[in-house]
Amino acid sequence: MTTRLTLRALSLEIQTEGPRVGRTIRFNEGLNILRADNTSGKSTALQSIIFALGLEGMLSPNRQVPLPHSMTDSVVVDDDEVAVSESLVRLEFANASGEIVTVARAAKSPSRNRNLISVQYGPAITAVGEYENREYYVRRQGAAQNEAGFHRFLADFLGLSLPRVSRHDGSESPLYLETIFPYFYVEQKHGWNGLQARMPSYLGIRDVARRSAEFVLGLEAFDVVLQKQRLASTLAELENEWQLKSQELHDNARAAVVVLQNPHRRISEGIAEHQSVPMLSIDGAWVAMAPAIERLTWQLTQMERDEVRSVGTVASELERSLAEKEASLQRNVAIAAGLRQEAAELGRQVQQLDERIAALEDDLRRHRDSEVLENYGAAHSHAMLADHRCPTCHQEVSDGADISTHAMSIAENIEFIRRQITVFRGSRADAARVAATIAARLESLASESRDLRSQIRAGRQTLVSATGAPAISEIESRLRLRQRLESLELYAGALESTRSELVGIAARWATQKAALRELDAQNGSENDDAKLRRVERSVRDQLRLYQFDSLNPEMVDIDRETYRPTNEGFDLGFDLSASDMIRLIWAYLLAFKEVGRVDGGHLDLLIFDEPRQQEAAHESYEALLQYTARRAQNGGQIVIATSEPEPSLLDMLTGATYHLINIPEGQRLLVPFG
Amino acid sequence: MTRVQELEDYFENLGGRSVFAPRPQNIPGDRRLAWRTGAVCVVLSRGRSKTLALDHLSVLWWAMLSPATRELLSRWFAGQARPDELLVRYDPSLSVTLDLAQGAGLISVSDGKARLLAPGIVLAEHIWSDESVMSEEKAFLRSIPAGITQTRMRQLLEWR
Repeated sequence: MTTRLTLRALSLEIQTEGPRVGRTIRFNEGLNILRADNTSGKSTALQSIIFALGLEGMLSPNRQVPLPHSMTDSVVVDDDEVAVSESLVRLEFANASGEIVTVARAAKSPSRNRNLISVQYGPAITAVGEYENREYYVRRQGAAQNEAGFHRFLADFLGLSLPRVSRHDGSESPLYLETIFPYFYVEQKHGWNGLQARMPSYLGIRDVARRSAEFVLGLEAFDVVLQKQRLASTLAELENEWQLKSQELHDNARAAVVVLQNPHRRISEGIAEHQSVPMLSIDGAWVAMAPAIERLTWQLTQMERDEVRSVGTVASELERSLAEKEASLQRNVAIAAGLRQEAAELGRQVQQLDERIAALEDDLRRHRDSEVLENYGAAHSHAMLADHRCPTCHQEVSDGADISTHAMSIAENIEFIRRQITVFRGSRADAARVAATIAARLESLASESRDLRSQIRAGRQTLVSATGAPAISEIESRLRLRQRLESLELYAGALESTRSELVGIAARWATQKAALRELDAQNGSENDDAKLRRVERSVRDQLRLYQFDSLNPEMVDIDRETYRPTNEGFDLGFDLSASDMIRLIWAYLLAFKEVGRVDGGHLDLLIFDEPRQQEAAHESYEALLQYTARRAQNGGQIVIATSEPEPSLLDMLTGATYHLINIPEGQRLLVPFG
Repeated sequence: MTRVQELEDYFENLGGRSVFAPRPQNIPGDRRLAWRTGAVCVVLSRGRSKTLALDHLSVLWWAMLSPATRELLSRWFAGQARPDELLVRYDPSLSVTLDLAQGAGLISVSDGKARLLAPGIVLAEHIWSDESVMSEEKAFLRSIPAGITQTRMRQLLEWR
């Protein structure tokens, strides 16, 4: 296996107004038991691991330090409370290939930003020395994707290639580390309330529990989902190309002054033989391009064969046509004036929308700033900026209290402004599109009017020339015909090739779409089923060991859709006794570790903070300790924090292999150094 | 049956009880406490020994709030403003902001002057060192002279 996280050492260092306090804890491979009295600070140690890895986002969406006040405010030293002035958490860990790094993050510091994590490339806690050092950041947008983001570094280091998954709003994001760590760490306060009680849903990832389960177990279903997403993006690219080529076809048609008959529409409908055929009107009849070119060539040869007629012979015919042309010209000018007015109105609209969008963007920036500032400010004025209490009278002071009694939260407001911006950008694009259409229409009217004017000019000149002179209008129409032919011949090739490219794009789209449909129809693969059967087997065996008695362990299934334990199709999350729920969580997470460590994304690490909850029976707890000790011998790491008294703990662990980190009775986790 | 009667009828037969809850409202970003507190600290940090007279502070505050006023004040300092276009308005919620910031221990206000205290100085330094935050406002503050004299301020406020 290639994904792995092995904890080696954790060091907590606190500078108080009095002495320096802290503790260094070393971890081994296999089963580690951290024993300490209740309220002596076990959870501080385990939460510090999460904090050092910048993963507090798995616990809640707010940005407060997830550490107890002994790390940030005041700590008890020799029965005295002393204020904390600075505190630092360092964690040394290894990956699958045995490379070791040490990360350090300040929980409280006047000079160091809490969102910075420095990484030393070596075992800086267990073998103090000079190692290469780099700074990364967490809890800011991009921390999972940017080069300087700590989670990008962490995922690379651990060998996790976090896939991109869809979000509720249709966009994509990586499957954040916060969503897979609930399979590796159960915290004491809320973690035991239910199965996956701590799955972060605020990140907006669609079906987050399922996606993360698939990733941790390495299910092919996950690949299928990814493949689907990839196909969907290829389809989107083809659709985009279709739009561009369609535009090109229309542009060429306009330039060649031809009309596309039965224009094609959606890519899903493709282009049939009779669709988007370039046609042009000759003497009032619509003709396809090739025959039209033939016909115009023939007309030109006919014209050029005859002598140019004299003014006298064409005069009366010419006068009639001149009147018609003048009327057409006037009509054109009138239409163009109307269109110009419309275009100006649209221009004003676009300008107003631009101003609106700029103002909204300014406001959006201020809300974003507020988000960051609240975080900065909370360090200096916690009551006011984090809890929204007046520092003097302790009554609530909410944002914008002077203008609204029910202001949106910052996050809501950001979302609200974003949506407004989207709407206004949409209207702007709409107005711009209409303006472009009108501009195109105006251009074609102008070119038509130019033609008409030159014909009228030629006609008038002919009429005022000497009767015997050659008719200028005839010469002019010959010239025009030749020009028209040249332009048609020029564009005929381009139109033909663009159209056949479009046919090709539609065909490729259809193939991809069919592949997507086929994937949609597929059910779970055999390999996935085998893996889930192994999870099921392990859960049932463990439940029997742990004396689960809400129902027969053999009746517990793992759902093939949700990957959660069910009984006769009903989720087991709700109707278990509290102590059986605890047993189920033990069994479920251990089963995931056993199966996911082989070729899944499991880090082969499991941390249980006080798994003996709800007064779980002594025998059940002993069975858990013995089982984890046996399992951990196959590799991987399990950390269990417990407040079990030492004698009874040692008794329960008889015969097992384990590493005990014992904080003697009466002692606290954080003690003066030296 | 009138439309009102219809509605009354409808609600009577609905069986449940209608509850009207206020919907959260959209507010401008500069009304956020965190923004206002941060902005006060940033402005004060530009003053000589981190102190500004209140009228001076409210001029900078007023100017900082919108792109148009930012541009106007910059032009005034560059000596390019027309006499009729500059009219400083006083923002009443600045007083509330100052009260809160004082209560939170970020600033102290006395003798018509506001002064940054140590926590406020740290906050302002954080803001100055983070490129991504309050970028427009900081650019504006950088663009106007750092040490503005009382005389210059009086010229601005009283047109002397």
